[in-house]
Parts: sequence; C-alpha cells; structure tokens
Amino acid sequence: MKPNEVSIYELEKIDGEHSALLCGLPDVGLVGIISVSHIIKELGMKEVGYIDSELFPPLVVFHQGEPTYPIRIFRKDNLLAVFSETALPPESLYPLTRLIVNWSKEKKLPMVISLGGIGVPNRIDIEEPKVYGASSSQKLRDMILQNGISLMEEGFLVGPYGLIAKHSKSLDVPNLILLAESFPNYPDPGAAASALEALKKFVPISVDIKSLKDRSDEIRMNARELMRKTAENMQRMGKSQEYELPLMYV
Amino acid sequence: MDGCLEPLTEIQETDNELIVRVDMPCVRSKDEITVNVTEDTVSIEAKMEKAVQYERWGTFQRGMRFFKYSKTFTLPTKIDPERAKARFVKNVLELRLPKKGKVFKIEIQ
Repeated sequence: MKPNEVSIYELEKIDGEHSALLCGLPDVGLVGIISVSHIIKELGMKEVGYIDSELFPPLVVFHQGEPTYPIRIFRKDNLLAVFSETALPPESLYPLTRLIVNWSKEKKLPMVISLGGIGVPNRIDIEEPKVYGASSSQKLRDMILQNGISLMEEGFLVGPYGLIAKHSKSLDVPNLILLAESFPNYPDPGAAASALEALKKFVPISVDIKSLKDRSDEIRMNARELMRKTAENMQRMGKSQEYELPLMYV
Repeated sequence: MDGCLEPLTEIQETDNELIVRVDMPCVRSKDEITVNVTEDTVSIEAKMEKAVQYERWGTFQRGMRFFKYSKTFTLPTKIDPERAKARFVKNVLELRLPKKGKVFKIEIQ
C-alpha cells in the first residue's frame, strides 16, 4: 500500500446486480453509523471486504478476539453497506470518498446512499426528527419529493457525505443523501430511526426500528468515545459552515 | 472497581446567554442530577439508573462499573448564577446561563 492511498480489498468477489451501497460514516450525531450498524445486525449482513489506508488511525478493532479492519464492507442479497467503526481524520476523507464513488461506478451500482444527520440546536424539543433529502440525480430528487421527504434546497454539506455528493456528481453516480435532524455532538439513535424510516421508502428492507429506539441508552453509552473523536474532527473540517448561507443569496 | 463517567458536553454562546447541553443516557430523572453553578464554573453530578459495565471491553476495564456522571468545567464568560435555568429532556440536561454585565445602549450622533 502506498502512502496517502486508500484501497478496497474484496474478501470475496463482489459482483452481480446490486440495488444500492449504504454508507455509514462518522458524522453529525453518528446517525449514519448507528443506522447502518443496525441494518447490518438486523439483516445479518456478511463481511465481504474492507478499506484500508495509512491515512487512517493506526489501529485495529478486535471482535471475539479477532483483529478486524475498522472500515468494512458488508453484503446481504443485493444490498451492500460500508461502515466505519473509527473516527476518520479530515485528510483521509478526500481519497476515501473518491474511492467509494469510483468503486461504486466500477461495480455499476445503481445508487450510493448517504445516511446522516443534520445538526439542529433545538433537537431537545423535537419528538420525531424530520428528514431532508438531496441527490445528484434528477430522478432521485423527484423520488425524494414523491416520498414526502423535504428537499434540502440550499446550504452547505461539510464532511464525508458532502464529498461523496461531489464525487458522485463528477462521475455521474446516483447519490441519495438522507439527513435526519440530530443532536450535533451526541450519538442520536432517534435521528437514526427517522433516517431508517426514510430509507425504507427507497430500499425495500425489513428492519425493526422499534428495537433501535429501545436500545437508545445502550447505543448512546457505547458510542460516546467515537462521538467525542468525531466531534473533534468535525470542528477541524469546518462543520459549522453548514449553518451559513451560500454566497449566491447575498 | 467503581468509577464515574465524564458526560459529552457542548456549549453554545449567544449574545445574551450560554447554553450548556450535557448528554446523560441512563439517568432516570432530574431528581438524580445535582448542578452547582458559580459565576464562571459549572459542576454536574448525576446518578445512573443502574451501573454501566462494559463486559467485553478491553482487559482491566471489564471489571469497572460506572454509577454516575461527573464533570466540572470553566465557562468562557461570566454568568449570573441567580438567573440560571435548567431542564432535563430526552436524557439531555440543558442549562441556560444568562451572561453577566449590563448592556448599555449608545445613542448614535
């Protein structure tokens, strides 16, 4: 592996027709990580690959005594998911997201879905977090509206999902972004539940969302350290710019 | 071995107040929380509903049990403790701490 390079390693051949690649990367409220991790567990998805780079933190994750890579790819039937168990330094995001989109194009995936959160200061008063959608594809933007989801019409998106959107536009890969209102700096299983409800309108998956809500305290406790490190990285990458108005409106 | 956890905390600053939000899963109600505020510090302790133990985490950590949250921190500006307000919703403690000091309106000549 060359320095500054990010690579995907397939543990088994990933080919055939797939419906989508779900992305659960560390961002606001860890919404993507919580929701994709829940899907992986509920569907019993199998690990079929991993992503590695010298740009990632120098660590491995142990599960049942076995070292595993912190960013792994899972598959069940025709659904793929990429999921990170570690916070990612901002300098790794460009090559990582470019690789994910390039790989999706190479595999002719019909859709890359970014599940995430959008920080709202009044989250404490919100019972059912609203989900906003955006897409590089007109067809998917139409579907967002047809499914009763509000379009994120204007604004900035900073971080991994912003970069996936950018690369997808360059490479003409359909990218669906679903962002649930979330606590900015706390793990938010409630927001993840809303994101999953929205996802079900695009991908036919049978996932119990109630169990996610029931495990809220446990998830919040377990995700504390990942959230702490992710919040530090979000600050470094200028996440607060998401609250600003794009210049076109001056 | 028993210990306490440091809760995740964020501070938002507006023109008039500091808003402190503290994430405290596993705390049953506001009655389990003690908040002490001075002009420039906040000290929070909260008892958890049950001990939290990470049974498969690490090596020596397995035996550790956490019963409460505890955190003391210095505020970025002086506040008026007597006008401070708090609420506990969705296991998040929110403190609203009005900034100290009078605001003088200046007439533009």
